[in-house]
Amino acid sequence: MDSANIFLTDEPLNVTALSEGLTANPKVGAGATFTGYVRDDGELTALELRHHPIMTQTALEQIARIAIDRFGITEILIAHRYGRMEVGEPIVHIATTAPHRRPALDAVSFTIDILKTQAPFWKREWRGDTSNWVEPTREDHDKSTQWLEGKE
Amino acid sequence: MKLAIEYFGPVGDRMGPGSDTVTLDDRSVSLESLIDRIAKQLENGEAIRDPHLRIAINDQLCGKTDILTLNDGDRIAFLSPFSGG
Repeated sequence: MDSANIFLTDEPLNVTALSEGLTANPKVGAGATFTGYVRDDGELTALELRHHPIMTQTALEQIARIAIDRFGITEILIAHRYGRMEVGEPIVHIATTAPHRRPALDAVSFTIDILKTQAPFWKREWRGDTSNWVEPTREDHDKSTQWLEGKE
Repeated sequence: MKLAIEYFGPVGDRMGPGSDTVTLDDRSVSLESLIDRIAKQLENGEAIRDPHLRIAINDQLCGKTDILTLNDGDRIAFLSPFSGG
């Protein structure tokens, strides 16, 4: 397996299967993961994720390479859904391995924070037959900016 | 020179379904000028003047101060702010 693994799909993410194999390297001393799910707010019936057919893959590859270089991690997996998802389904799964815990954990935090504002995805919430686009929040921008300006 | 105009995210709802085609005489333009010239040729063109949009040419993001060299058939994409994860 290459050190940067990108998995972009409209099929449900099998989080357990995705993470298998990442810790097989004997020099790995730590593994860290983050999974984002479609959250039930009482009214949400589905979440729709759209992506760019070329630029999204490219952006995820770039983010993964930056994470490897910046944190010195051994391996990274970024798996992201697109299409329509029901409440409780995973949207994104990030897994890292490294010799020690801190780079593994920091690389996961970096990747999800950067991905939210730098990877071409567009999120739409469905409540029955009506929908609204989800704009990135101020917190999303602040977290991304902190990493990009080295203030983490 | 003809350019194909594409939309991604909420801006696509404001511009209507599908892509558009515009014509441009100059091959070398600033990004600001390009947006202005495209907006003037489109029915709902004001929507693409939103400063929060990102612009890509042939799937490569542009910088706001870029001077662009365009070719016939280039694809200009207007991308709404990203909201992944």
